Amino acid sequence: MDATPQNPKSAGRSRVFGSSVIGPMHLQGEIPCQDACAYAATAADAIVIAVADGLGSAKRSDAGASLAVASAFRFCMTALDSESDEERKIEELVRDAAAHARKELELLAQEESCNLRDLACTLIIAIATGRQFAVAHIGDGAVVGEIEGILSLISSPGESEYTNEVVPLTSSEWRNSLRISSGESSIRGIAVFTDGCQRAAFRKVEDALVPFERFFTPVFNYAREVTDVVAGASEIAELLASVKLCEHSDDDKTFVVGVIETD
Amino acid sequence: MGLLDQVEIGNPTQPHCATVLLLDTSGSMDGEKIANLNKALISFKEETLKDDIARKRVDLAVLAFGGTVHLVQDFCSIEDFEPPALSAGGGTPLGEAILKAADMLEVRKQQYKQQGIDYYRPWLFLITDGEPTDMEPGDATWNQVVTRVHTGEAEKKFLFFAVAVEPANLGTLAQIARDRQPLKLIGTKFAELFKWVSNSQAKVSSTKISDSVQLPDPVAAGWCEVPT
Repeated sequence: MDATPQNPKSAGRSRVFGSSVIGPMHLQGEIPCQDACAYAATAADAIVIAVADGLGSAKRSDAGASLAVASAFRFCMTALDSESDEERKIEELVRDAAAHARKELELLAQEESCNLRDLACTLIIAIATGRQFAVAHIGDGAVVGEIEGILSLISSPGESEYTNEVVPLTSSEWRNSLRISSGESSIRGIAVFTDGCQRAAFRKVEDALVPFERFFTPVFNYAREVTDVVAGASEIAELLASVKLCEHSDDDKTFVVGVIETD
Repeated sequence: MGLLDQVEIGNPTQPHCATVLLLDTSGSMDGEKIANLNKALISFKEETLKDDIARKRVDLAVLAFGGTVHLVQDFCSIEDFEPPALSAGGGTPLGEAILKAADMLEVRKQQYKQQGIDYYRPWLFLITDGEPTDMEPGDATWNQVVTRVHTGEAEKKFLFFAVAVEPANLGTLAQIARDRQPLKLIGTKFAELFKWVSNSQAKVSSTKISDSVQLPDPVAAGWCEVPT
């Protein structure tokens, strides 16, 4: 797990926390957690979240997921901290962060003389301010927002017909498969998660995924009430490791939630 | 009340892995072969039930072809699967059997979609010891069958596995199963074969993959030799 605590520079009006938790199957097989996440609120109260899920079929996907998350996250934070220009296009930033993460994976594969595909992972990078949001996403997992009081699927798990087949960041097709979602809306809550949480977070209506209110409403309400983000992260970890979630997915699970308060 | 107590689960159904066992019950399978196949189906159920993941996800149908093509078991959970006592007799209508199995998988996928059930790439698992008697290389049925299998693999509609039992014609099978080399069963090691199927399904239904499906090594599992 690669979680970043609350940025001390944050004015404290935005809050973000979450956890990556090993799934029962990996625990049983003594396989490391192949999910990773990093998150922070910036000085300007923007929320940055990066989440990755290493593919079970790839030998070193835990290293791939950790590196993809760390590099994409740092890329965004550095850019946001150094930019005073609020008009900077966060849509370009998340796209560039994905490209940066891909490059870092290529470098690691070279350094360690392993195949790039051994590091295969998904990646989601999300930035949300009070006024706009942008997401870069490859592979499964999803992003759900609370926009003007309504739950909205901001970035869906992708096109794959089969539940376990994805195009990862390490694929030669990654550019074509990278999805960018953005909007200029009053976003108050954002949740970014890996596929291990999908069955809990969505219901299916005529083959379409719909964010499940009885899952998200308690989560966003909790995020607004909790003042200690470390305690919040523990609460999420407890939820992810629970029988309630694990009986629907034996996979590793990552869930990060952010709430944005504006004046 | 903690967060855990407050949240509810949106879609509590398990993803499914539709699997059609396509079993040769023609006259040449009579004797030890069919007896061992029947025993292996019982142990397949037992093995799969032992795996917490596979038992929830495998959605099994059995189609037999001996004289005619007949549905022995429509799609069901492994818990509900009642291993049949197959008997052998008649010709080998392999072409018709493959087409019917491929149709069944397509229908099943549509049902999953309608019911909001996630699913894995389905399996079409063929076990045969003979030459097809309802088609010959180059005839209309043959062309239809090989096109169906080849496009099915290429378009990721299903995974097609072929296992040859002595004295099956491996050359014929290899033309049908072009994308996945047919494997040759050692003797009548059906029990080992089905243990491997069970392990493979457990693996597939719990591993996220990119472009290729990686299964446990069947040679190491001790039931087959790779044909030369």
